[in-house]
Amino acid sequence: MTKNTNNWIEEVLDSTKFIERAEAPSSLDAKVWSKINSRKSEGKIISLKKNQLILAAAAILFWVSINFLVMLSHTQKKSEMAKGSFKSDYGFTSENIINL
Amino acid sequence: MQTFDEIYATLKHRVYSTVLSYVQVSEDAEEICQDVFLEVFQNLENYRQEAQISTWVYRIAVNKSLDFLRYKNRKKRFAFFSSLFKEDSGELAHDMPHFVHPGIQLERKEKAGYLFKALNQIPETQKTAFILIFIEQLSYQEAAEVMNTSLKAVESLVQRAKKSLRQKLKGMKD
Repeated sequence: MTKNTNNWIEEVLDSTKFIERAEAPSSLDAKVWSKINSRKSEGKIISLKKNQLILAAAAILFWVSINFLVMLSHTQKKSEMAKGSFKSDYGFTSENIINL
Repeated sequence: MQTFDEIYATLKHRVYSTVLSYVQVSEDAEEICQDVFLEVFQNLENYRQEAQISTWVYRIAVNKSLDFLRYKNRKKRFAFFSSLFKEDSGELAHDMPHFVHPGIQLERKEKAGYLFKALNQIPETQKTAFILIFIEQLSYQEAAEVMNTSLKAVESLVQRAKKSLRQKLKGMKD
């Protein structure tokens, strides 16, 4: 490597000493805040959706459990009928029903 | 604990300057800065004060810049095969534009341009150490914290960066 090239390389490396910090453009402020605000509103939508999802799940669970209870009571009535120990709300027993 | 507004006001120029040294295109630097501060905003509540807040923000900025450059290189490699040359001029379409740092003094612009061109050709870790110490003027200790490594490792990276840069610059001069 010649002395000339060597000097040139060192001068290039030394040029960092003459670099001042670049200033952010003034447009950056507005862009950053707009991005943050849009993310904030996205967050609100997501949490709203989450709430709706929880409500829907609770409604489905309620509907399923009600159906399960109705089905259970029907099964119970059927088995009571089979045993002959069923008594209806109007006072009929299973024997009365069979005799009819 | 600093609020987001305070962090942004204190660090926006430093973050922009660091990112610009990496990506060397002001529009890209602005885009990355937005992502950096968005991440800071989203994670400020979870931030545990193990390191200085500026170190944490610098780390995000460095990682985002490197991610961007990796993405750009991948895209460039793909584009290289699809269109090697510009259709109209036959000129090579994917060469890096000659970057002029806005903070450089006029008489040094040409030399600094070569420096940034050479910086693009050295390994990521060496580049990071060089930018943080010689351009951003961080101390070796601060740079080690940003890079999540030891002081000795940073010293060695700086030496290797200088060696690599000398080699690249020699190639440019010849």
